Amino acid sequence: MATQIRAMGYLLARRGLRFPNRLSSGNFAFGGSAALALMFVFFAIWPQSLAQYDPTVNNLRARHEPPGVVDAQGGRHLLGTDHMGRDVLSRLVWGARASMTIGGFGLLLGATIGISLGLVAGYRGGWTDRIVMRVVDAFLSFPYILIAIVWAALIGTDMKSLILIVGVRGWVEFARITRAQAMSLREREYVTAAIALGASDLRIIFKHILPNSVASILVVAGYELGRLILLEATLSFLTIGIRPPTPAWGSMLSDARNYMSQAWWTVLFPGMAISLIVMSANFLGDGLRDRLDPTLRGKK
Amino acid sequence: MYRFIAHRVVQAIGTIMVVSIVIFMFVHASGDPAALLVPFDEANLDTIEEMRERLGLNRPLHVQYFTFMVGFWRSDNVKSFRYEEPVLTVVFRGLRWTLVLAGGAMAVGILLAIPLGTYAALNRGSYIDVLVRVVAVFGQSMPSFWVAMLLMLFISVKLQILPVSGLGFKNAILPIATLSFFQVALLLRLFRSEMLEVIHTDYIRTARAKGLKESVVVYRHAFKNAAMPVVTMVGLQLGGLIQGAVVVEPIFAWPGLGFVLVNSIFLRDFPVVIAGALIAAALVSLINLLVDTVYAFLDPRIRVS
Repeated sequence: MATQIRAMGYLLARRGLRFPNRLSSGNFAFGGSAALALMFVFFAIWPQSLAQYDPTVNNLRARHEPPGVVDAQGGRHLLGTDHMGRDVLSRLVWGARASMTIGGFGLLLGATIGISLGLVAGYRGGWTDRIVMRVVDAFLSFPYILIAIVWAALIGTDMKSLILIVGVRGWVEFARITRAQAMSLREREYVTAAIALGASDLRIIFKHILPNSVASILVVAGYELGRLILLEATLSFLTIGIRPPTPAWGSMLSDARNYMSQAWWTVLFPGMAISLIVMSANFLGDGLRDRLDPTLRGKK
Repeated sequence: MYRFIAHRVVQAIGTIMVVSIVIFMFVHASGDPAALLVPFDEANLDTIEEMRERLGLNRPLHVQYFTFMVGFWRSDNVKSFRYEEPVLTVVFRGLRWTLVLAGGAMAVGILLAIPLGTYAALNRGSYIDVLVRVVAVFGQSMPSFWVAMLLMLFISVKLQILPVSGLGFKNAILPIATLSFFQVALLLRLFRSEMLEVIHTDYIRTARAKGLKESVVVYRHAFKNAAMPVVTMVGLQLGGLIQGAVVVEPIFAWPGLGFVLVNSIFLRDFPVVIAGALIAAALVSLINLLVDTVYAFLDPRIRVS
């Protein structure tokens, strides 16, 4: 029951994401968020395109320059500088790299674990299914951030561990959706026909069940990307994510805490970056659902 | 029904076991757990060996887990480095203040979500209805620590209406506002859609047909039935609130469990990090169990399934 209610909450929260209909399922929001996501991917790959300054070099003579002001050396800082005199815009652009790398690879890892477990559980059923679902239930019944904190604090926070931490958060929803798909697909006539023709389990899973689940999996991937990026930002904010001086949005906000009254721009812009990327990932999920998943089409 | 409850009890115990095993594994994988739990200034070969002995860390792995879990909580074994007190004392002192915030956020969430959700459901497409959806969009995308900082920036720093941080009645307003922002977003959606569903049922049509006043129909008949899932969600959201508290409390220097936990990370005060995470996870699992049990008593339908 609790799981059902939680699932319901998940769905509702997702449905709540829609702007009044004309906007969200329309091509405008979908195209806009796709463009935004592509832009962040582009910055993650090639930050030098927009970042004029080295994001890790301090310039103590230009500390807390407000946005747009020209500093003593004649450099212009469009979004101001932080407490070390580093250019906020450059750090934001470089910060995309941390977010996208950890979010992206974490998503890949979570999807791989979740889809494999979901396929096996849904297709085999029986005790395999029961064990996987017990683990899913257990996973959903306490806040993952607690595990993440102990993990990061005790084991360390290099790139690899962070991707692992974030990836382990991501598998649950993939497992649930794939299991549900596999369970309903295995009852279809074409699967029965394949079994009658003597197809092996592996062939059925890879030729019939997986291809027919791809649409739902993509939808979950859109939503999960947003959540994983948010988790990375939270860990960085708690100083157990990306290590300084490497720029990350969460740790930029964590630094800004101490200078809030002097430099509002160090608070405003990194938060906007996080919200924008998470929102566009969510809209991508909505857009994909409307375009790919006929069972959910038309639900508001 | 007792089968259902027994089933859930076993499940909750299993969850707590799994979480504790995972945390124990991290403690173990971090190198020498004994060295981790001895305060730095006292750490030498003798004290580390003594800690190893006390926590049973020189025995086989599966025995270690049990002796560690028993030995860890004994007040004379492991103390917080920072507070020089038993870990349980430190954790429970923080937990008290976290529950104040969580309770406050929940109360605000319910008080706002129910009237607004009812209004939005009865007046679809109205301004409030649109606003409800927009709040939900932003509530899902904005990180809670950023919302907290923005509130602080505008209300405490710019307008100077409320204190920036600390413990007190006025100090609680901003953290509660931050946490309830995310509560309201979720509860509003749930209550609105439940209300919409109920309002189209036969018994509501019957109530209207026999000439009852609209207010009686809404509050006596529709409201009660729409409220059930919301009550469950409120209980289940406690996990979300604790998660929020971990991030929001340190910003406002509110001395709850989250503040203690995050501070302990800074100070490398590992005993408190381990104990805090374990206690919080156990608490959330137990509350989920309680919610399910209460629900089983209230709603006959799930006793069967």
